Amino acid sequence: MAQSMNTYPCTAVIVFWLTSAAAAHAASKVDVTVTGRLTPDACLVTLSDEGVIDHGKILSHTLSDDVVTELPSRVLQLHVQCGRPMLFALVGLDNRAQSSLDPDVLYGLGRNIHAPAERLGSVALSYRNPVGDAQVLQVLASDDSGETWRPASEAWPKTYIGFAPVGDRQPDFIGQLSAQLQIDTSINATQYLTLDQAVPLDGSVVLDLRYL
Amino acid sequence: MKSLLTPLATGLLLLGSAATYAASTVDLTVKGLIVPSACTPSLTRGGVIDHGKISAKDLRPDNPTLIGTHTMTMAVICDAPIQFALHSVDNRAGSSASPANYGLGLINGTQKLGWFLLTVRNPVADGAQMQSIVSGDGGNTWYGDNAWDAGLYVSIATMADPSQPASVKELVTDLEVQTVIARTDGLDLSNEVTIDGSATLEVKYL
Repeated sequence: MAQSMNTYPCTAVIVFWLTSAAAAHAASKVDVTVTGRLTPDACLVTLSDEGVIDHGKILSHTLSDDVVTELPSRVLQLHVQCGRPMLFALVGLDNRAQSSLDPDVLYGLGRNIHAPAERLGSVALSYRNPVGDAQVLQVLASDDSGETWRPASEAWPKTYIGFAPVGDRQPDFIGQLSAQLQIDTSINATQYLTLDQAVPLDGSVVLDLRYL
Repeated sequence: MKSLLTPLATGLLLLGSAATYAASTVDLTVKGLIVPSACTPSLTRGGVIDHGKISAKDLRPDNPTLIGTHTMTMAVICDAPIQFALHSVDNRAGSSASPANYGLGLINGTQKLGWFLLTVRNPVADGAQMQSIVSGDGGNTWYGDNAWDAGLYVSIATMADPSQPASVKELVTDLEVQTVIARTDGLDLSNEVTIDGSATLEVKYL
């Protein structure tokens, strides 16, 4: 709340100043215009299996000593249900960013509870086969919070992911979206890990729906 | 005006997002458990063979003397069927009077007291009679044998095919240990000498 209140007056002042400069020649009066939208609409995001991927028991001898080991890919069904067609994007926020092997493109998998300096590995997210309101869509990504978009299926941390009709370069209004969220988990090279005890994996990501 | 309004709208929408935060996010959790070991080896007798006290005058001066043959049972229990080998390491390397076998320690720092031999007998895997196989190149190539020389990999194969290890969940086998003292005319046995053999059998996953 405090952050929004702070943003609001600053923006209003800029509108006032520029408008005043344009109108100064014609008359000694000035308009202040404040607009925006408050929407009662909302979208609900859900993941199948309550968003939980469980790789079960992984035998340490099956992991590579000198390169990362990729575990089998998993897929969860993602659904977004909105009260009416909305412009939105999904953003992955990493609760384990400090443990990521490459925070720009990969989510962290937590640290070794027995040796906290050790990073266990990474999680890569990507969206597949999006369908919105019965129409096949493509996945777009934006690295500047929705200003510009590029086709991509990988959902890097903090990158906005939007959905558009095939060929479009801007996200479209969508009322009901379904897509597959692919989760690719990899374990760090075991030469960097102490695995003489059982070590739990601990990936945690928030998918945050942002209205555009 | 349009472009100027965008930041304002964004400001208001951030407020809106905050208010509906709980409904507009979903958590993704990635779990799993890395477990350290798949197979656990064990030996009866705690892996210890104690020859007690042996009189030096009962040992042959001009030939090696076999002072005992003991059989332990070795079990290797795995979480799931898997190809594995056992790698032996002689912890008294350099003290064996028989180069391929395991040392028993040195007398006065130089005299090799003797050696012991390991032999795999009657291996049974998951209820089936098997044969022991041996690899001298770290598990790349295998041949049928039951003499477990120091440093070799030993694994288990079906009776029909000694060229590759079988996937095994539970292995039970006899492990015969023969202890030999070197000819004593080259040994200083004027004081009590400790028989000090030690080897480590380590599971290697193939």
